[in-house]
Amino acid sequence: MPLDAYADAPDEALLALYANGDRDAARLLMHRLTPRIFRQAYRMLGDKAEAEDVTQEAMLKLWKIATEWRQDEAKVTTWLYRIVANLCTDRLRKRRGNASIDEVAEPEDGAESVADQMQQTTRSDALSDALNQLPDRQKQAVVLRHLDELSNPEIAKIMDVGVGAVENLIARGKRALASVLAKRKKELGYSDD
Amino acid sequence: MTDDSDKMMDLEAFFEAGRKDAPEPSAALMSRIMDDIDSVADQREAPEPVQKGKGLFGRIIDGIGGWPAVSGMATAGIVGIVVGVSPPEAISDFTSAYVNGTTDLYLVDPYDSFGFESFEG
Repeated sequence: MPLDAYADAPDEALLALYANGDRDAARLLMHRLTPRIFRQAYRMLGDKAEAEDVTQEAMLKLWKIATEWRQDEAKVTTWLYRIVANLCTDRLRKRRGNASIDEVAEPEDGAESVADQMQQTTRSDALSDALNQLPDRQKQAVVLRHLDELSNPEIAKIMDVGVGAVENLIARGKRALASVLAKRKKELGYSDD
Repeated sequence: MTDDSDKMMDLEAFFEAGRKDAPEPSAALMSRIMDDIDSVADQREAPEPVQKGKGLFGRIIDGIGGWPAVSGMATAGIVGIVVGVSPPEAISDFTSAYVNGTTDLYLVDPYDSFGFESFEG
């Protein structure tokens, strides 16, 4: 079956087709979803090799669950984003020696300038560096909202919290980002006007 | 407040740069995922291994309730043999009295409620 035949099929239908033995449907699903969750993983982890491992692991979980997938449950994308978020959180925790997420302090005005630590000068790299200064949950919410451009209700489902909590995480995350980036304004080509 | 708004405007520019600078998954990753699609499907479509039928002995064990029942029966059997070969004292007295003793022991009551005439002659 040519992939074009499924071009308009929703993700959930493609997964059901794969569960019934149609591998082309899974390949189309892979092309649709892999770039998105890879970017999510990369933005969370800041490491391409690790992001690829997480992406493959998440997609493998999807293939395995295909036969048990209930059509009335969450959207495939929401489910995948959640899996990736959890896998990334696990890896970030291991990196930090199992320190609690809540123990990671937000950057403060008086903290050491991140400018000294940064090697990149592009805005994207600066953003990536600044995101890595945030507590995991704030980073996750900001990435999903402003880089993956998901809606707050969808992020709430992915993070398994209420919409109010998502708004709070995003607001705190953006304040912290602004605080970090403001210190590098001139370096990044912004005037103080 | 003005300062916050100013910072947020800056952030939008950073987010836009971040969205445009989206990394793409490598061809190697896509290839690995494609392999996973096939291997999971292969496993799912592989025929179930044929289970050999149980033999007579197995069916008998199943019929009496499986191995727990067999172990219970074995224990009861061993206790029976021990009691038969070397009976406890109380059982021994009763048995010898029943078989060889001078006292008559009956397994049935020869004098039921209408047997009083036996005593009266």
